[in-house]
Amino acid sequence: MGSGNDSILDMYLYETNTLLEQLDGILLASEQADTFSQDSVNEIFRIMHTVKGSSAMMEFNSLMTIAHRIEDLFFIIREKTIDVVPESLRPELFDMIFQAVDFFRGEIEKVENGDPLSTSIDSIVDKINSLIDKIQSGANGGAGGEQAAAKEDAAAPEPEAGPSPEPVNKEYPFGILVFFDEGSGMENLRAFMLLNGLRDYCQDFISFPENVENDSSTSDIIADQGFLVWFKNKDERDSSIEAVKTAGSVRSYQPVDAKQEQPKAEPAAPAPAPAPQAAAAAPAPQTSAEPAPQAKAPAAQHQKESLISVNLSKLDQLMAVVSEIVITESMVTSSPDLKGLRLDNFTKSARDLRKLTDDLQDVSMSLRMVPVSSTFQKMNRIVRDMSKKLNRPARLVLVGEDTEVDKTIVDGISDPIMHIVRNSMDHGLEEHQSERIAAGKDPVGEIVLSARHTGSEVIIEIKDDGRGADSQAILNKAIRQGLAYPDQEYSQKEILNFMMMPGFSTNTEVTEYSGRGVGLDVVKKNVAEVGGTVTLTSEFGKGMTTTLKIPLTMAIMDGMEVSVGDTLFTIPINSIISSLKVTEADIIYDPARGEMTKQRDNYYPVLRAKDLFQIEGGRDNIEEGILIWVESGEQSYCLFVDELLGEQQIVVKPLPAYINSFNVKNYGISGCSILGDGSISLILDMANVYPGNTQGAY
Amino acid sequence: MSEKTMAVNESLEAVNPENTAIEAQTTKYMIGISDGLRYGIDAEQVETILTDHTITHMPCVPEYVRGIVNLRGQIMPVIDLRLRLGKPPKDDCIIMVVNVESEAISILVDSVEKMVDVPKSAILPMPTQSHQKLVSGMCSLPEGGTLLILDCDLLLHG
Repeated sequence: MGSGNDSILDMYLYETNTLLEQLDGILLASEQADTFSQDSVNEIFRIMHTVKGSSAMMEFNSLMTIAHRIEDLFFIIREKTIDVVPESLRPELFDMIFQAVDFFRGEIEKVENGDPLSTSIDSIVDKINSLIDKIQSGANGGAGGEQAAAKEDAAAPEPEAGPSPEPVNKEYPFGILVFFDEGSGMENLRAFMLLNGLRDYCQDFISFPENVENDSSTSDIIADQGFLVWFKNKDERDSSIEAVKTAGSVRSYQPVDAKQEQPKAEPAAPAPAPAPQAAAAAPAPQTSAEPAPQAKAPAAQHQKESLISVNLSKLDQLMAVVSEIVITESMVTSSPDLKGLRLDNFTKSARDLRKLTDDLQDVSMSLRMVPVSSTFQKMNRIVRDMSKKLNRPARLVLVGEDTEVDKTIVDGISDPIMHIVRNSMDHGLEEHQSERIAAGKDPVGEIVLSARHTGSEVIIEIKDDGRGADSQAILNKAIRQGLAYPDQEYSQKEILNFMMMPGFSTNTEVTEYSGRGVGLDVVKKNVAEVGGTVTLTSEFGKGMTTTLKIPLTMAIMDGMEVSVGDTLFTIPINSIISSLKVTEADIIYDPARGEMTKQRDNYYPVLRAKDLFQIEGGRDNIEEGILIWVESGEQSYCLFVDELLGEQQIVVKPLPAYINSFNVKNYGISGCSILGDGSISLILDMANVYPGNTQGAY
Repeated sequence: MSEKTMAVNESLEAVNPENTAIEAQTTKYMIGISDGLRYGIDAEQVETILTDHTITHMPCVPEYVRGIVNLRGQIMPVIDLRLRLGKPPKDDCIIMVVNVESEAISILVDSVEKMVDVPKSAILPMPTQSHQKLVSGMCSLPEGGTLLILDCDLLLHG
C-alpha cells in the first residue's frame, strides 16, 4: 500500500471521527431538549453529507449507504422542520441516529484496524427507511404516528438469525440464543462473562461458539448469528434465563429448543422509556431554534479554524530533540573546562539560554497535552444508553473537563473510565427508584466524573451515589474465590482491593452479593500501563468512589536523585514520603537480622540499596547514609542510600531491549534518564524494588 | 547479517561491474583484539568506536553486561567480550558500537586493529568440537595470524 493512499485514509479517519464526535454532541444536546433546532438539523445534514461523500470516495459502501439514508431523512426534516416528526416518534428517531453513529464508529474502528467491514447493514437501513415512511405518512396522515410507533416496536426484535440453530451436542437440547448490543464490540468476552454468570445458576452447559475466552475471532460469529448456550434440561435453561436477563449488553435473547420447534420468543429488552427529565422539560415544538445549541455552534466552528492536526510521532520526535537540547545545554554550561574561570558574559548568556530551553521544553510538552473532555463526553452516551436500557434514571455530572493530560495517557484511560462508569450504572446505582427514595436520596442517580491537577498528577474520580460496596459480601466472595483467608482480619481498604484482583469476578451477573468486580483487575492493569494507580473508597449505602491517579505525562517526571557508591538512582517523588537521618539506635533487628525502623507508630523494613543491587562501594554505616521512606502500591518501606543529590525533573528513557531481556523491571529498574552532566541515572519503580514483590530478588 | 553483506555486494556490482567476480566474494571485517585473539566484526554493522567513555553500572544483569553507556542521548548496553567468553576482565578497554537487529549494542574489546577484506571462500567453519559458541567461522590472515568471525546475533541471544 502506497504512503499516498495511507495518508488519504488517515485524513478520512481523522475527519470522520471528528464529525462523529460533533454529531454525538449535537444529538445529546438535542435529546435533552427533545427536539432538533433548525441549526442542528442543518449541521447533521451537512455531516452526513460529508460522511457519505468521503465514504463513497474510499469505497466504504455500507457507510455510504447509511449516511445517505440519514441524509435523506434529515432532508425531509430540514424541508418541513422538526414539526414533521410527531412527539411520539422522537425517542425512536434519536435512538436510530445514536445507533447509526455507533455503527459508524464500529466500522471506522474496523477500517483503522484493517478488518473487513460488516456487510449486514439491512437492519439499520430498514429502520431508517421505516422511520422515513412513518414520518412521511405522519406528515400526510397527521395522527398516524402513535400507531406506527407501536408497529415499529413490534418489529424491533432482531431479524431471524438464519436457519434454526442446531445443538452442538444432542445431550444438551435446550438452548438460549443471545444477541449482544449491536456494535458493542468484544462479543466473545461478553459471551465469556455471560457464561461465568450462568455458572451461579447451573454448572452443566455447553456453548456455541466454544472457546470464546481465548478466540477473539468468535466475536464476529456471535455478532452475526448470536451466542448459543445449550442446557441438558428445560428447568436449568429457564432458571438461567434470569442470568441472561441481567447480564450486561444483552440486546435480546430467546430460548431455542432442538427438534421440537417452539420459538416462544420472549420480549426483548424492556420498551425504551423516555428519560423522564427530558420528557418533563420537553418544550412545545416551536420552529424557533433553541438559543443554547445555536450559540454553541458558531463558537465551536471558530475554534476549529485555529487548529491543525499533527502526527503524534512528529511530536514525539520534537520531544526527543528538545530533551536532548536541554541536556546538552546543561552539559555546555556546567562543563568542567569552565571551572574556576570568571566568565560574566558567558554566565549571563547561559542563564538566558537556560530560561529559553525551559520555555521550549514547556511548550513542546504542552503540545502533547489534550483536554480530557472528549473522553468525558463519551461517557454521556454510555450513561444515557444504560439509563434507558436499565430503566434507571441517572445523570452524569462532569467536572474539570478542561484538565489537560498527555495524549497517550488520555487514550490509555478512556477504556478504564468507561468500564468504571458502566459498573457504576450497572451495579452501583440502585435497581429501582423506590430504593433510592426509601434511602432518602434523589430519585435520579448521579455519577460525578471529575478531573483535577495536583502538581505532577492528574486525579480522575468517578463517584456514584448508589448502594456502595457491601464489604462483608465482598469479603465472603473473596474467601470463596480463594483470594482471602477466612480467619484473617482485613481492613476496609484491603477488602475493597479484593475487587481489583484478577479472578475476583469476571461475570456480569447482578446478584445481591456479586457486588461490582466486573473486570476491575483489567481497569487496574490498564491504568498501571500509563503509570497510574486505582483506589476504591466506598461507604455502604452511600455510594462508591473510584480514584485514578495518573502522571501528567510519562515522558517527564519529578525524581529524587540519590547515589549508592558510584551508581545514581532516581526515585519518583510521588512515592517518597520523607527522608530520614537515623542513628544505630533507631534500627531494630528481627531474628533473621532484617532491619526495621519505627516511624510514626509503625514499623517499616529497611532495605539497603547497596545489597539489593549488589553495588560495590557505598556506605555500610547506617549513620553515614540516609533513609528514604517510600510508599508505592501496597508497600511502604525505607530504602537506605548513600546520599541525596537533590530533586530534579528528568526525561524518562526506556532501557535498551537487551537489558530489559534480563527482566530488570522485576527488580524495580524501570528506565533511565540522562542527567545534566551526561551521566545516566537508573529510575526505580518502588513497588517492584521491594523483594517481597518479586521472586528471587535476593 | 548475510542480507547486509549481500546489499554491499550488490552496490559494489553496480559501481564496478567488471570486478563482480572478485568483489562479490569479499566482506570487510573490523578486527578487535580481546585477550590476544583477533575477532572480526562485519564492518557494515560497526557504527562507531569510542574510547574513554563512562560506563554506568547496571545491577541485576549477568556479569558480562558491564552496564549502559550514553552515546548522544542513545542508551546502549555494554557487553564485555572478555567476560562473555569467560576470560578475566581488563580495565582500559575500547568500545565498539555495533548495530544488531536495529538495536545498538556496544562491545568491550582490548583494542581495535584495522579493517580487512576477507574473501568469503577463505572463511572456514569452526571445528565442531570447539567451545567458542559466539564464533561463526575463522580464517587465516595474509600477514599471519587467525581471524575469528564474531557472530553478533549469537552475542545477543546465545
